[in-house]
Amino acid sequence: MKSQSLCLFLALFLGGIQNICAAESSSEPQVLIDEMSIASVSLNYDGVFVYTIGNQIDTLRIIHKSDDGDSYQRLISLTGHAREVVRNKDQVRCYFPEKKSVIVEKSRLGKLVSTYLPQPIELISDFYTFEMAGEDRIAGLDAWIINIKPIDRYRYGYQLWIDKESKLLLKSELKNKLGVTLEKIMFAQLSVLDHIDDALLKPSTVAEGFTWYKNATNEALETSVSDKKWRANWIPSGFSMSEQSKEPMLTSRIPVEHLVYSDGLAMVSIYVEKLDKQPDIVVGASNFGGINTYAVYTSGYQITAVGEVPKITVKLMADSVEPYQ
Amino acid sequence: MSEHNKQQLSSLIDGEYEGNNHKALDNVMNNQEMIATWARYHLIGDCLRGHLPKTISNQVFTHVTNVLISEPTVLAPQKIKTINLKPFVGFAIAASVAIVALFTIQDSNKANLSSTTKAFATNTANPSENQTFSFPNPQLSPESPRKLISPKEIANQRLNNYLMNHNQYRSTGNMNGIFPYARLVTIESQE
Repeated sequence: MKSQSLCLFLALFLGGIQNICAAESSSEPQVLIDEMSIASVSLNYDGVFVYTIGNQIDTLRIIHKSDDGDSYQRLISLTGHAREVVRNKDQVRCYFPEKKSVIVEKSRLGKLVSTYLPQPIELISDFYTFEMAGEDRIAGLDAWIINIKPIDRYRYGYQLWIDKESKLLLKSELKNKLGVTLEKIMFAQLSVLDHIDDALLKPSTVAEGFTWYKNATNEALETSVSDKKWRANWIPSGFSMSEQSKEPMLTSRIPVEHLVYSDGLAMVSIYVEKLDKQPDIVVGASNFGGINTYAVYTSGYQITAVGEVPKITVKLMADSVEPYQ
Repeated sequence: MSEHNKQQLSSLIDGEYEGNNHKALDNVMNNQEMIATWARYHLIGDCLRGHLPKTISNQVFTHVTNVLISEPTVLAPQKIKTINLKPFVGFAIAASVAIVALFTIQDSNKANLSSTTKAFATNTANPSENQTFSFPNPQLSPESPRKLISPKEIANQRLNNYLMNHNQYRSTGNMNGIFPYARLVTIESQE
């Protein structure tokens, strides 16, 4: 696997070798997905895509630059308010011009390959089936179609359209087990460029007089009275905890316990927040496109599971969370 | 059959229907077209999961219906709900309300945060530079913002924070890194 990845990595940067690898990989969906993951962070591109969620359709522009292994990205809403999201390796800034506000978050974009690739594809293959589903044409570019079907009812499926030449993702649909599309993105235009001018990555929003919001640092927060550690006693097969941390939240003085579970493709976050004697406790289910949430309240703590998985999964996981210390 | 009925059927089969399941099932069983769609959805589901046998008799539905008719009625006690659900209005709405609430906090406390606001003004003079910003902690204000917005808004705001935080993680570890921020950018049109 390592040698194969190295081959693919080099191929993307050495155009002469690319065609050789591409010819071999065109019929292997797992290899194509690996190539797509690398291409999405290693290439410079500028495109316009349509984002559909339910009956809502929006158009956005994405500009991506790769520089010495670091990714820089700007996302601009072309419909409605001119919201923008600008990401670099350190920071994410979300501009809301209609509210004269900017929300600043820590960027979790990492170096190329080391953090951006999904879990090793052979691990994911135990819980999803991959198949080539034909060819199509998106944004004037020839594409391979790949179906990723879950083996059980605890995760969603994907249908991906990948550009045959650049290996960039041209279209993606998140599907439930009946094949109903929950969320979709599709490029209408996409250009792979040798160079992206830095000026294109700067927000067009003039933030003069805007209010800037940033999550407080851990040092500024109270430490939790409780030293309880939490875990989900039920997770779907193939899922494992990939991260456990305490996250500062805009609404909380106390860092919120955050557990991240993943099967390599789907990801579920579980938040445990102490809400003793507060009237603002809400429990139950909710959904937003491909995201489902489920919240329960137990012994002074609100436990909320959030993830791009079916409702049954977040419910079972939230219900199973217990302290273990 | 309306789009609403199709979505209702789909959520029933997924076990994700939020309303009265008994009433919804009654609606299905009283409508031949919905019964046919119900069967078709199950067939599609079985097909996608690879659970279909090599051959299927097109009389299966009739056989099952006849068996059900001939079975005695079982008067089982109604299932006790262990959790008293109070579903969110909907995450899209929750998220948009949350963003509005977030900004309402700031607007409502402008008078109390004048010193902090000045610091922001200094910070925003040249937004292209790498700056340090801090969120004015609501609970440190003389008037707690929790008194200014309803508990439900605070709950929605909390959920929105979870969504944003989850999206941060989501955007790094997955091939569909575009989705998380597309969601954020497009929330506005649902406000």
